[in-house]
Amino acid sequence: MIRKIFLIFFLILFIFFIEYSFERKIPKDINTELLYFPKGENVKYIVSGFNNLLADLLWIRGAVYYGDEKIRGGKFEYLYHIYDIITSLDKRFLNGYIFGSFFINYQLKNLKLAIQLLDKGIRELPDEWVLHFYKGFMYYISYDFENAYKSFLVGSKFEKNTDRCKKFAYMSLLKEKGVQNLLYYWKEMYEKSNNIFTKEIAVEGMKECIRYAMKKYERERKKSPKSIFELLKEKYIPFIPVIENRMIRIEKGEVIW
Amino acid sequence: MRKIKAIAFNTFKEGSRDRTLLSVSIAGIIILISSIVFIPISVGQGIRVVLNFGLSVIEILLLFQIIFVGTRIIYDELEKKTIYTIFSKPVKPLEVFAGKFLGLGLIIFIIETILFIFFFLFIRLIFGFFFFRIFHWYIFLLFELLLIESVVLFLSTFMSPITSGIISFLIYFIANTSHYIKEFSLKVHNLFFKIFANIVYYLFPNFSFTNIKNNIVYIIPFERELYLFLLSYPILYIILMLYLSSILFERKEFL
Repeated sequence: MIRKIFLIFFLILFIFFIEYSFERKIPKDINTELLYFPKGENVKYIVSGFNNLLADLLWIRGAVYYGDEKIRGGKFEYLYHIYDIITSLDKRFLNGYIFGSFFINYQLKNLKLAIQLLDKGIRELPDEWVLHFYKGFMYYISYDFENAYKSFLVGSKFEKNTDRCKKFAYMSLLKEKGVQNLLYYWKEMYEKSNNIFTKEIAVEGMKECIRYAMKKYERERKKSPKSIFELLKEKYIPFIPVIENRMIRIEKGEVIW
Repeated sequence: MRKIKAIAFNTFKEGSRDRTLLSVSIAGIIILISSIVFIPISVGQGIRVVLNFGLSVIEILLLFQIIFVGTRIIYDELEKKTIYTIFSKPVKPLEVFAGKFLGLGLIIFIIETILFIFFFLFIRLIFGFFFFRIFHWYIFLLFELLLIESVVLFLSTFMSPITSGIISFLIYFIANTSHYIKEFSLKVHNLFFKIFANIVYYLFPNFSFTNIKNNIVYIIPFERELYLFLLSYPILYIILMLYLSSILFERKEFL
């Protein structure tokens, strides 16, 4: 009996050893598998009523892909593809449209694709004012104030909307002056979100706001601000963001956290 | 009715004896518990992922249960020649099929109830609220599964277990996708394809009305008239399948 147990144990050990050694020798690029994933509209034909389950599994896969590409400094080339499939499989997945567009705009720096995803959401979920808000927001953080104003205005017409759309529509009219207020929004987003990727985008958003204020300061004063306190003193930013007990600051002309 | 009851009870007893009831319930519970792993990695969508996963897992498990047990139920009786003992008594094939159907249906009903009650309590424990809406899906799923069960029994009268198992899976697939084919046919200007799509849509079981998982997860109201649909379409389809099965069975030589 003991011999049999030993035999089984060694067999398992041997199998593990072979798998482990091959795993190290042959690197796998798991992300290329996404290349063979068909278009979202076609996937729904083959999942036989389990659309939501597959959308969820892809949502998790999307998070893994995002983290993986981030670690290895990848190009995030399948990001739109993933969120397009997720939102085609589950057309009511509001966060799929919102987070997807955020990630696309932030990582791919592709406003057009981000808006395309949000427009798809607006078509599928016409009652959601929040999609119009985020569409305006995408334009706003890309400093396209005219389009931002239009989207915020549409969002503000919905009964359910909070005053957020109206506030941002007004900020869009103020153009550069309104950008300062973005800092409040990013801070709020950081505090309210329980998604690490969103938090990261919010921090980046705050840094971008300060960079924007810095450039404005340089343009108007013909000199660089010595520190972030100078921007606050001269009212270029409304407050200094402190995140996790660490302040965002300016060092050697760079905004760092 | 007494004969049907006796056959149903016997089928249920046989099914319980080979421990499928226990093993599928335990497997289901383990899989449902394992969905906890999705919560930290689902980037803020834990409730949604666990709900979708749980509802789909229960459906898949029960579908497997029906196909694996249902395809063998008649086949085993023929193989072991125990069918002769049944037909040596004054019973009609329709009564045999109705009994077998109800026996297996009872097993499915018990497993489904166990899994749903567990899932309901599991959601309460993990997320802290009672999600009563899942019981709508419990009822809809039960009717879907009973319909598939009748199709499996029908196929097993003239096919081997493996073939009928594969075909049953395909029919389940068609039942969930035939509305897409019909939708697609409206966009294509091909009369032949339109006729084909309509035949597939109306001939095969159609689950496009009963798949309300999305409504459950997103708390979207659904037409209460669907309950009327449940009480008519699946029941008529089941009667048709059982009747066809008995007709085919009557043609077998041993009768």
